[in-house]
Amino acid sequence: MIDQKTEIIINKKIAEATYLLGLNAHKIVSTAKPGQFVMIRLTSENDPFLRRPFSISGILEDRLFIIYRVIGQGTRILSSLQKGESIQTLGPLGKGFTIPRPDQKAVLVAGGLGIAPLVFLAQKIDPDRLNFLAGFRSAKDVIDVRGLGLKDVELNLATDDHSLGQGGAVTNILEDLLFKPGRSELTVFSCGPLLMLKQVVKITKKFRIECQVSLESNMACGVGACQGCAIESASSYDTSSYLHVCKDGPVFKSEALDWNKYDLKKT
Amino acid sequence: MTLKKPDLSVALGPLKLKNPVLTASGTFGYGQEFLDIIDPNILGGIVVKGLSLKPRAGNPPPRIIETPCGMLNSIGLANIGLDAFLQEKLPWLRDLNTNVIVNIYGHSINEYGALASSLKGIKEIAALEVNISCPNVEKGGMAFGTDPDASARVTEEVLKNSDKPVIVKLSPNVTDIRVIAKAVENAGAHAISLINTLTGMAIDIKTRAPKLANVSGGLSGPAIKPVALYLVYQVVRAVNIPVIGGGGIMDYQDALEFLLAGASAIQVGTAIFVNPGAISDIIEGLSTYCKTEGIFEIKTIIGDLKE
Ligand SMILES: Cc1cc2nc3c(=O)[nH]c(=O)nc-3n(C[C@H](O)[C@H](O)[C@H](O)COP(=O)(O)OP(=O)(O)OC[C@H]3O[C@@H](n4cnc5c(N)ncnc54)[C@H](O)[C@@H]3O)c2cc1C
Ligand SMILES: Cc1cc2nc3c(=O)[nH]c(=O)nc-3n(C[C@H](O)[C@H](O)[C@H](O)COP(=O)(O)O)c2cc1C
Ligand code: FES
Repeated sequence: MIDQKTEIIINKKIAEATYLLGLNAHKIVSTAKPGQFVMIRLTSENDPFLRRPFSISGILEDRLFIIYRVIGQGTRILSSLQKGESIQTLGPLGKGFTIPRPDQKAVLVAGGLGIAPLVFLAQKIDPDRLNFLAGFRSAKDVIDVRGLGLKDVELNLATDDHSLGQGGAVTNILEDLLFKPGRSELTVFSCGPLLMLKQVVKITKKFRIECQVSLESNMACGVGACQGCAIESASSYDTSSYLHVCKDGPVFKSEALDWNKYDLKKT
Repeated sequence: MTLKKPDLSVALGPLKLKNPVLTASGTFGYGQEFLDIIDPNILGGIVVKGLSLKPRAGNPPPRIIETPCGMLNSIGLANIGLDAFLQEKLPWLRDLNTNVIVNIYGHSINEYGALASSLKGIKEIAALEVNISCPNVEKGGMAFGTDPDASARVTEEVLKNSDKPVIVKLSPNVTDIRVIAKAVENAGAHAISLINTLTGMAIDIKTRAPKLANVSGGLSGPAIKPVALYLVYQVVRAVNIPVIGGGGIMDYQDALEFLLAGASAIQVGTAIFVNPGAISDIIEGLSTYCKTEGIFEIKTIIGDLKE
């Protein structure tokens, strides 16, 4: 883990309210793994106060990439920063995905910006063994991953408003896929809105397929010091009743969590 | 010949610190979490996460909400408990070359005593900081810290069971903090630290629900600094024991304000989340300030407020 000054090398719009940020992060990139994240300080002033967590979406030599969506004050500030400006970046943080073995096939299920950590994971998987499902609200929200180190990867798209790919939820594509033979050698990796994740977990549980999910929680420190990012663990899995997204995660095996309690809606 | 550097050392009664900078409980874990970035040995001391007899899971999430220039937390003193602390954390803390201060919290006066007694004889623990001011727990915590008699009784119980300097940490959520400060001084406390967080809340206007699952939480960060500074100023003038000041300190200039108000040492808390390097920056900043101003010993500016 390193806290370094990172120079912005690119910060461009790639879809509706969605940006690709490239940072010169030569120290952080050396140990970064898919599923890990960074905490970015947006300003040296005191407001907005806390750093913002973002998944690592890829690495190219000493460059670290992030895909983010403008949803509030902090991400708005981030989107206004220009090439050449520097921001303080802490990382790599947390536990990432367990990369599938070469004999396994990976199904990646992304919902909206949940695609961010999965892009980095996909870069580590042979395209022949990869099925990348991605759901977006509408065609204008779709992120083209071919320019992000995945030139041979075809997204299996779903849009809520039927404007591109299959209409409806991306989890329908997942369910159809798991009905087909050969599912036992699959592992599912997912990141996205909570309702979608809950559906993914329900489906993979039904088919008894291993599932790793990347989660979010409000964070202050990002390193396990403040205990602020707690989420309820499944009682059978861990007796301490809470896990910490920044340190125990953000990637968890789905059975580690109490999905009835996990709820980000209040935040 | 080595060049003479400004002397940053300070004393908290019997406790000697190489510089006045401590980490605030609950914001620096056990010193291990930020190890890649901060060497705890540069500090005057580290105050570890609040410790209770039994492990505590803490409050339901969400536990953290950002607020203007600060944050609300309702962690609820989640911690590993005494046994795990002694087995897993103490061996590592023992080897540090800085003052390790253990922050303790109990549900009852007896529990405070039991904790103090369990930590007796461990010479690598330099002092105890008694938390009578946590706003995020139902029983104990702030209930003791808002009542002068209860504050005094907790202090006495800890002193009776301890062989270490005892620092009592005060809550700002009281009408007149000087009354509590005097009560713990009369009970025998070696030092006082303040402030713990200010109780507050935030509401989501879309869901119309409180943003914290616990409804209320403790406000920390630069938003509370002016309040903290004035409370420190008042307490310093009310008691004759050393005072450790903190609340919203982000940089060495903030630290200097607390020293000038009369604090003998300072605690850096929430700033660490935003900028872990703040700790070393503050220590270096104080040293540079002393050099520039021709101050040989930082202790000479403690309480040197021109009124
Ligand atoms: C491990 C992790 C990885 C993430 N990866 C990405 C990513 O790759 N791309 C992306 O666009 N977003 C990602 N997020 C979400 C991102 O952190 C939030 O969108 C961002 O913090 C919003 O900041 P804001 O100031 O614009 O929004 P505001 O709503 O104004 O933020 C207010 C406060 O709430 C916190 N907050 C708001 N939404 C979230 C959220 N969903 N998760 C955690 N904290 C939140 C903010 O950090 C801030 O402290 C990730 C979150 C986590 C925890
Ligand atoms: C996340 C968090 C956890 C805390 N945990 C404790 C604790 O366990 N015991 C305690 O006495 N104070 C605790 N505090 C209070 C801090 O030690 C400090 O007194 C307070 O935050 C004000 O200082 P600051 O603004 O520099 O953070 C905690 C504060 C925060 C933000
Ligand atoms: S964000 Fe501080 S412990 Fe996870």
